[in-house]
Amino acid sequence: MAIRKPRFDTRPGVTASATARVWICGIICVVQYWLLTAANEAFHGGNLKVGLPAFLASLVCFVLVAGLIVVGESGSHKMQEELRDNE
Amino acid sequence: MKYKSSTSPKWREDFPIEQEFDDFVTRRDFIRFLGLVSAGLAVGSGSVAVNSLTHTEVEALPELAVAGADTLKPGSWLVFNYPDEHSPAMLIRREDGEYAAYLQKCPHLACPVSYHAAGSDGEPEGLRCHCHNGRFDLDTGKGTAGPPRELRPLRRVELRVADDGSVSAVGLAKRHKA
Repeated sequence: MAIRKPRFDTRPGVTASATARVWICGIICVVQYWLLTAANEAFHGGNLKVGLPAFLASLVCFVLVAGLIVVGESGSHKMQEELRDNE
Repeated sequence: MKYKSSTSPKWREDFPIEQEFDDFVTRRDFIRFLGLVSAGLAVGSGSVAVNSLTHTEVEALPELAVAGADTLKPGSWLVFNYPDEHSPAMLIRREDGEYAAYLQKCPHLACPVSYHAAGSDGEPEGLRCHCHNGRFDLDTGKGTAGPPRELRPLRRVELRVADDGSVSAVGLAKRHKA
């Protein structure tokens, strides 16, 4: 009886890297939240110069998060394709 | 996590989810949710940026000619209602002849603020609230003494002075720049 290959990525370090991605995204979200509240408070305090740089920084953070998600998803898809090909 | 066994039915292989694991959030789902949160926060920051870029210093309101302004002597003031009949405002003719106008309500406890010319008690001209001895800077409307020092400044009324000496209120300064 042949042993079936698992349908998920079993390479060493995959779980750790996935957990690390989640943590990094979480930390980036906290930074973005701080940016939003700080920019909002500065705006209401009369400082109009902070809004645009804060938005750009927040956009960079979003790109980082999106990048991490895409990297994770593509890695997993690639692994699944390889497993399918091997089968 | 035994999804499959030799006795499992075919549908179990196609749908290998145990009911007890159904409420679990996977890392993949959670990171997708974080992506959504990140996008929302970026949009929020964008709205702050848009508000900052489109901010105007003056809130334009219907023009109102201030009755009696043309006969106002330097170092005197009068009260008129602006922007509605329930909002008292002060039109001040400063000692140098320039006009200034502020809403009269003190930001502390809404007592009426009044203008005091220089010389009467050795102090320079300025705005005072007699309820709690608050003082305001005549140039900016910011509190300089008493409880108003910690509060928002008085809102400045934007004026238009015509060649014939008539004065009209045309809007209110936004709170930021008051």
